[in-house]
Order: sequence, then C-alpha cells, then structure tokens
Amino acid sequence: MKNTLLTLLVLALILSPFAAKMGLANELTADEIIAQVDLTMGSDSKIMTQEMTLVSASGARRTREIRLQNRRTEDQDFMLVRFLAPTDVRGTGLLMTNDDTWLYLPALGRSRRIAGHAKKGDFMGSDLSFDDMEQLGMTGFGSKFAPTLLRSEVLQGTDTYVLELAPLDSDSDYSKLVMWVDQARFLPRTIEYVDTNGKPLKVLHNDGIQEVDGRWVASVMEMENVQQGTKTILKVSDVEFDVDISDSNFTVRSLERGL
Amino acid sequence: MQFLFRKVAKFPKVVIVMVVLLTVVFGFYAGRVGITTDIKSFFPEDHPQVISYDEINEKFGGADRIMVALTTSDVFSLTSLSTIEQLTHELEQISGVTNVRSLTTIDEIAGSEWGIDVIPLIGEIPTEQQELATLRERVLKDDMYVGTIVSSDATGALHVVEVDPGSSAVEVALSIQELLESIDVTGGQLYLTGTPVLNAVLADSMQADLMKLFPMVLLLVAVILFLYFRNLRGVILPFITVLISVVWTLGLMGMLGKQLSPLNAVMPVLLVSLGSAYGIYMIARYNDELLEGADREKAVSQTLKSVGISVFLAGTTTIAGFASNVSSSITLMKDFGLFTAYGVLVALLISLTFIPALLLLLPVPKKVAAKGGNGQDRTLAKVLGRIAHLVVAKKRSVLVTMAVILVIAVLGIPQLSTDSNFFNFFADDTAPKIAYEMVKDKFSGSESVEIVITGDLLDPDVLHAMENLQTDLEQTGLVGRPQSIVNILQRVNMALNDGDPDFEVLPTTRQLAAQYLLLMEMSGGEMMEQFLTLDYGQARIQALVKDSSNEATTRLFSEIDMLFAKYFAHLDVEVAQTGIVALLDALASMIIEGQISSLFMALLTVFVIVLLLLRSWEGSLFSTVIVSSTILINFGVMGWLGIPLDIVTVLISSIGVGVGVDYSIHIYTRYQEERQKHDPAQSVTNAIIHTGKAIVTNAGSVIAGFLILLLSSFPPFRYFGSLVTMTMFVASASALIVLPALILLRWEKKVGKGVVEQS
Repeated sequence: MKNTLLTLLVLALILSPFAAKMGLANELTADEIIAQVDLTMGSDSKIMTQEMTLVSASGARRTREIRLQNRRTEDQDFMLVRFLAPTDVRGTGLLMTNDDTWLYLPALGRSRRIAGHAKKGDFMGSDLSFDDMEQLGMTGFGSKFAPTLLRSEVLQGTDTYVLELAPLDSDSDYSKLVMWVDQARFLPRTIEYVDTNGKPLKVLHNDGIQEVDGRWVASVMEMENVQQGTKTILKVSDVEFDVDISDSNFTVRSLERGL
Repeated sequence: MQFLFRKVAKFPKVVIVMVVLLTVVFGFYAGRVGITTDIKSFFPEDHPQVISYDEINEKFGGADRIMVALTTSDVFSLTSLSTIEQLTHELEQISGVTNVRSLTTIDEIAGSEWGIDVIPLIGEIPTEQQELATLRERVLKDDMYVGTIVSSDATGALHVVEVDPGSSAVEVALSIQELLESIDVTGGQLYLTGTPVLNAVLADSMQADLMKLFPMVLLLVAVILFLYFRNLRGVILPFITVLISVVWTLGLMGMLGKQLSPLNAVMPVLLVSLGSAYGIYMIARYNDELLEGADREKAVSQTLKSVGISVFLAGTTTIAGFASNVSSSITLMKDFGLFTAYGVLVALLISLTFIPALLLLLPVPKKVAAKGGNGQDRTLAKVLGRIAHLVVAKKRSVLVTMAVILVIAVLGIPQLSTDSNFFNFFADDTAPKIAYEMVKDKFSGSESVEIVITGDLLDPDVLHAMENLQTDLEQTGLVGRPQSIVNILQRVNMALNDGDPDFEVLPTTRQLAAQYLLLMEMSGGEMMEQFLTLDYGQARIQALVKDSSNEATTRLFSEIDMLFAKYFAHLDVEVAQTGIVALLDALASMIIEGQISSLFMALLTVFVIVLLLLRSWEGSLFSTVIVSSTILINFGVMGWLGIPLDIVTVLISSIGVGVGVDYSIHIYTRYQEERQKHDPAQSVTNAIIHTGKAIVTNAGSVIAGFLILLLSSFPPFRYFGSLVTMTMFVASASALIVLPALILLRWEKKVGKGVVEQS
C-alpha cells in the first residue's frame, strides 16, 4: 500500500509538468476562445466614428469619414451610417433595417429606398462584405463558425492562438477562416479568409490596439483582397459600446433629419 | 581577296568545320523563334501611346476586348436568350476572363416611385410570349443597349469579353475559339472577333503560310540552279549557302529573344532569293575558269579575285540598303533591317569562304556546262545587242521616255494611302474578316477609341463638357454612342425622378454628382469602375469606331482634338485619346516617317559606298538617280493601283535600293573597264552585252524567289511579292538602258555631238 501510494506520488510528480502542458489545468478550448473574442469585439449597440479608405489595385485612393450606429435586438438588426466627409457627401445617410435599405441624399433633399442586393455585397464598395462587418463588429463569429484550435504561435512579438473557423452556412463565400487571436487581449490580430477553391482571398490585420470603455479595440483595421490587389483601411477615431440608442434613430424620418 | 584566298586555301577543313558548328549552334536557337502579332511590339516601350494604352487598361480594364456575336432570327426568343445566358456563363468560366457583358449580365438603373434599383436588365428569362415582347420593346427603345449589346433589328446580340490585363489575351482568344467550336447553336450563328482574336488567328495563319511558301522558294531556287548549271554541285553549294544564312539569322533572333512578325515574316524568303545570287556567281566563274584550263586551286583563286570582288560589292550595298531601316522608329522595322543585313552578310561570308573551301576539297566535276552557251544564250545576246544599239542611237528618246514614265509615276504618289490595320491582312472571305465586318455592320464596330479626362470629375462644368463632347462626337457619325459616367449619372437622375425621361440630364451641383456616385457604389458599383477611377480623378469616355481605316481614324482624331479645344480649353483638365485605334493611327504615322527616313538613309549610304568603290562621281550619282527613279516608279504604281503602304510594303524600297543598285554598279564597272580601251559608245555597248547576261540572271533568280509570294494567302505579302518583282525588273532594265543613255548624253555634252557617234 505504501509502495503503491509512493509510486503514484512519484508518477504524479513526474507527470504533472506534462499535465500542465497538456492543459489539464486551465487551458482554453476553441469555443471558449471564440466566445471571448466575441465578447471583446461584439456589442449589441455601438456608435463608432471611422475613416474608411479604399485603395484600388492601381493605387488610387478614396477616403470617407462616417459615423456608424449599430443596434441589435432579438428580432431586428439596425444600422445607420452618416457620412461626415468629404464635404460633397456630408450629410448623406444610409439606413439599414432587416428588410430595407434607405439612402438619404441631402442634395436631393429626400431619401430613396435602394432595394436589391444592397446587403449581400460589399460594404460601401469596400473589401469587407456586410457579413464580415457584422461578424467583426456586432454578432461575432461564434454563431456563424465552428472553431478548431490549431496551435499557439508568436505573431510579431505577440502570443496568439491560431484558430481555424469552418463556416456553418453552406452558402458562405469562404471555405474557412484562419484566425490569430491575441492571447492576452482576445482580439484577432490577423484573419485569413480562404475562398471556396481553397485559395486565400482576403487578409485582415488589426493594429493600433487600445483600451476603450474597458475593452480592447483595434483602432486600425486593414482588409486586403489578395486576389484583386485592393485594400480597405478603417481607422476608428471614436467608439462607444453598449450605448443606449433609441429605436427612433433608426427610422426614415431620423435619416432625413440628419441625426 | 588574295588574303582571304590564302587563308581559306590553307585551312579548308577548319573553315568547313567552323561553319558547320556555328550552324548547329544557331540552329538550336532558331527553333525558339515564334511569331508575334501584337501591335504593341511595333512600338518602342516608352512610346507615349503605348504607355497611355497600358495605363487605361490597368485603371479601367477592357482595352483588349474579345467579342462573341450571336446572330439569330430573333434575339428576344426564349431559345436565343437561353443561349446567350448559357454562353455568357461558359465564357465567364474561362481562365483569364474578368467579366462578360451581355444581355443577361448588364444592369439597368431602374427607378420607381419609391426607390431606385440597379438590377440586371434581364433577371430571369421570361417564358411567356407577352413578357418577351415587353422586354423586346423596352430594350430596343433604349439607346444604351441598341448598337452596343443588341442590334437595332434584334437579330444580333453581343457578348463583350474583358480580359485580365495580366493574362495573355491571345491565349484567352484561343480558348474561346475552342469553346465556340464545341457549341452547336440551332437557328443561329456564332462569330468571334476583336483585336486579340485577330492577333491569334493572324499568327497561326502566318505560320501556316510561311511553312507553305518557304519550301516552295527553296524548291524553285533549286530548280533554277539546276537549269543553269546542270550539275549537282551547282545546285547544292548555293543552296547550302542560303540555308546556312537563314539558319544563322533565325538563330541570332532566337538568341536575342526576337520573334517573327507580319513585318519580317518575309525575311526567310528574302534571304533565299538574295543569297542564291552570290553562290551562282561564284560557281559560274569557277566553272568558267575550269573550262579555260585552270586547275582546281587556280580556279578558286581566280574566282575569288574577280567575281569575289563584285559579289562583295553587291553584298555590301544590299547590307547598307537593309541596315538603313534602323533609322525608323518602328522597332520591328529596325530589327528587320539589322537581321536581314546580318543574313546577307552571312550569305556573303559563306559564299566567300565556305564555298571556296568546299570547292578546294571536292574533286573537279566531270561535266561543266560549255561556254558560249545554248540557244537561250544566243537569243539573249541578240536582245542585248539590240538594246545597246538602241541606247547609242536613240539615247535622247530613251531618256525622254524615262522622264515621261517618271512623271506619270509621280502623279500617282499623292494617291498613296497608308494602312496600319492588321485586319486588312485577311482576305474578305476569311472567317476573321467576315466576323469583323458583321460586327461593324450590326453594332458599331469592335475597336474603340478611349478618351481620358483627368481632373476634378465632380465639377459640373467638366461633366457638361464631357456631355457636349459625347453628343457632338456621336453626331459626326464616325463612332457609335459614346459611353461614360455622364450616361450613368443621367440615368440615376432619371430614376430618382420617377423615371421621367425629361430628367435624363446631368446633376447640376457637385454635391449631387458626388451623392449619385455614392448611391451607385451602394447599389452595384461595378458599372462605374469601367468609367471612373476610385479617387474620381480620371474618367473615360469610350466609343466604338465604325471605320478603322487610317483615313477615317485620322479624321476622327482631328474631330476629337477640335472638340477638346471647343469644350475643355477653359477647364483645368487634361484630355487625351488612346485605344487600339490610336495605336493604329500612331503606327501609320510611323510607317510613313520610317519609309522616308530609311529611304533617305539608304540612298545616302548607297551613294557614298558606290562613290568609294567606283571612285567616280558620275558613277555614283547616276546609280543613285537610277535607283531613286526605280523607287519613285514603285510608289507611283502603288498609288495608281491603290496598294497601300503598310508594314510589309514599307520594306520594298530598302530592297529596291540595296539590291537594285547592284545592277547599275555592274554596268558602270564594266563600262569603266572598257573605257580603258574603247570610246564611250563602244564601252557602253560592250558593257551591256557582256554584263547583261549576269544582270538578267541575277534579276531572274531574285524575282523567282519573290514570285512565290504571290501564292501567299495574305494580300500584303502578295503585293509585296509583285511589287518587288516589278522593282527588280525596273532596276535591271534601267541599268541596262537608261544608265548607258545617261552616260552617253553626258559625254556628248562634255565633248560635243560628233565625237560620240564614231565607232
């Protein structure tokens, strides 16, 4: 008996480092990591001011400044975009509800519904699709992807978890995502979007990590479409999370009033 | 020459081995030479037109367009629309295709009372007759589609395929061709056209043509050689010479990464025709020496000493004639000049080293054609005698006749046109030409002119200027309906005003314009990418050109320049024109410049060379005059017959000068020789009679080679063949008739009339 106990003790001592390494203690699962990421980035309501620069394959640039108001409830997803710059488009507003998209042109003095494939394509001509934006800012990834933890890796001096995300939607534009998540802050540093042919389509880089409102925020997001050679750079100048935004902000009337 | 002989005589085997080795090396590289038909290869890389063409392609895409046209009895039938949809889909799958614009893929900016939508013109293909009829009516009423994507009589539909600038447009064209061949369209026909298609087909056809013609030239030359010498070595030795020169030339091209093009495709035929002459002279003189009793060594030595010199002379002037093409700005013409000059040099060297080396090693032939000749020779001698008599007795009439011919020729020159459009290489009944004409007929054409406006494109003044330019341009009738963001903005305005056609106008403020563009971005911005750069700094107006001949495009460009001045002069914008048509136009100018500069250089060089060789001002002046007249007659004939100056016919004058002058040189040299013993009249007569045979033979063998080109399937090559033949004929005839007359006239002027007629 004493011998067995002693053997077990010795075995435990010998094996414990391995146990620790194998994460029997406090190692996170892929699901847990993604949940953390979603907590860090997602929010049910958010007001953000950002500068969006589109860069074409030949190097031409266009920069616009917008203020985004996002709100999610159980059954509704609202977005209100107000253009702040350049001056020619200042005051233009875009309202997106579940079913409709409305555009207000100040020079015209009224708003119009723009139907059709507005929500399915790229967000305002950028390299991010509406889905991409939603996942990065509102809903997160957990509900849309099944994650797998591949390994840990040091990326540009930061310890990261490398995750592979398989889309749950069979209609997805992507066959998988590969995500490098900052281990300390649970913010993705890099996300690689792979197309349905298995070739890398887009790469997202998060930089300028700052703490805002108790969360870690990437103040510079750069999405590059590696197949077309185009790039979108988003610079966040102001962001508020979990703001109490009234439903009435997301109406055509508010759109036209310029709020 | 003595030096050369001594070296060759000492080491004949070394010479032979060296030549064979070099031939093997060159032969290896010769296999790498391909064919290029890309118009850009005619331009130096930094030519402004090429740069702006590439820039447009990169920024907006779509400068290299392939068109697939479908003709049916009614485009708006269920079967036709389904065919279009399926075809569009299959075309999009081809690698290198960025997008396909057809009835089933284009968007329309639809407005209604509640909103605006950028949706496909045809979403789901309607199945009901009534729906089809409505669609038909709607589309045919809209001038944004009629003439560009569907013909006005609804019997033709176009699929415009855009090629990724990074891919080879020619390869994509070939893939599409394969696809079309595998599709069976019931009740309709498919046509394929567009510049990349043309390039692909042209390259293939040229290759096939050359592979047909080149062996024929070789065969013909072999036959001529045999008829002349009637023994095997008389055929083989000159034959080997020309083969070696062709191999070495193609080999050098392969080494330097050069390719054959429509311009220099005639080079192998050229080299065979010209190179064989040197071999003929060498062997003929060798035979003569043998007949006079010389042994092998003496025969070769004598040959080199006498004929060697005149072969060297002839070769040098020919080389100079070709080399003068380097003064042209057309890259391929420069290359042609250099490589052909090199080829002739090789033929010359081989004739002067390799052939003597072989002759020294080979046993003396048993049978040599006897001197004094056969019946043909006697007839020729008689004719030459008559000519000599004519010249001496009637020199003034001869010169007057020549003058008259020249005047008539010069009168034809203003009618000389230029043509740089490769499409005219195809005869009217060939598939590419038919497709090309069909698209031109049912739609506005397959080639476009691109107008680029750089500046503040949101400025309503700039937009209005563009609108005015487009309207005026369309009214000239030279182009189809011009397209740009102006059209898109007009449509958006109309759509936002409930589709009221009165509102199909430009927004009046820059804010409105900017916001409309924002709207378009949200709704489906791909339409705009073609016409406006991301930063709104550059816009493109595209118009299909109805007539792409050089006269029409020259007129088009001057119209555009005028419109630039009229509408844009006071604005702070830059305007430019480009597109395939602009390249064609630039090439046409380069052809003319190249012709003038190379001709001038050729004449100058030849004048100097002949002066140095003959040491006589009279000789070189007269030779140059004779050769210039020959060229004038060539241009005159081209003008009268409506044969255009194009990338192939532009080469004729350098051949005419380089080769044609040889005849005059031979006559004058002999004249100088004879003058040591006889008076001018007798000297002239002797020169004509004795050198005449060699001249006729030489001209004959050169002409024979070029006559083969008449069998080519390309009109330009046929014109080239017949014109060179004519030029050689005129050059040799002038050397035999006009030159002596000039000599005698001058002599008469110098010493008074009576003295000359004695003899």
